[in-house]
Amino acid sequence: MITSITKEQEAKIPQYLEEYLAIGLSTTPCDRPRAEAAIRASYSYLKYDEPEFVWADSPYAGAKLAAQYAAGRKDVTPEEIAAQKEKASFGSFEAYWVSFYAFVAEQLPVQKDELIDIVKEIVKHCGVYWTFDGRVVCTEKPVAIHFKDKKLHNPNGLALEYKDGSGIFALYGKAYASLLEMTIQKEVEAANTDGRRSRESA
Amino acid sequence: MRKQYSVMLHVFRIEHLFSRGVYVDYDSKVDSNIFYTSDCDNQLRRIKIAIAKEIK
Repeated sequence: MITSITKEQEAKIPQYLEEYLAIGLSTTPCDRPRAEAAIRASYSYLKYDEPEFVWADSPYAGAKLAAQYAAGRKDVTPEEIAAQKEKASFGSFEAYWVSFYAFVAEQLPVQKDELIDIVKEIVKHCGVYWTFDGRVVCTEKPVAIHFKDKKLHNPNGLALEYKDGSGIFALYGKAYASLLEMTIQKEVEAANTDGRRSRESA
Repeated sequence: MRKQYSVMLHVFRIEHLFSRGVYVDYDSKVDSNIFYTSDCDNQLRRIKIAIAKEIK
């Protein structure tokens, strides 16, 4: 059993964290052939039949496709779509834990198999996805991610934005249902701050 | 209903990467906290949670 790591090994940890944070925050379009090859390899590893692939531009569009495929019909309910959140693999956003396994596999004297390489390829090249017998619903990565103080934040629009225009409105990490709701909240907070200043200076 | 697999990446993480014997000789307590309290962990997990909340 390994009970400690060397200074040299420890010194490489920040490199892994930086590399995998960049993978997780990537907004480049998915390399679809590589994403499909990696997921196909994961099916093969688990001895599942080779799947076919369908792609959507966002996790929200993907969740609907997944719900439709699961149900075997087009007219799915909001509850059926919402149920897909529990069944999603988050692709690139899973990079945080893959960094740990990659470090262990690549830097420590342990037995390494091909699985870590498959998982690395998936997080590098695929967004959120859903897995079925014979089919995978893949989705693209976001086209923009805005942070402030390491929390999702954009006072002027979507903080997390997808190609199809869907995404998340957020201020300092708190999500809002719409730009209108977020703007109102911003104005209320500004008014409260102004009121407090006026009272304090009176 | 068509057959849907569990969250496949979690299957790899829990049932394979960690318990298949590949890494059992590594005591993860040594430094896993460095990874699991990092900006990488915090920022990406926050995004995952935010996306999941919006799937409705």
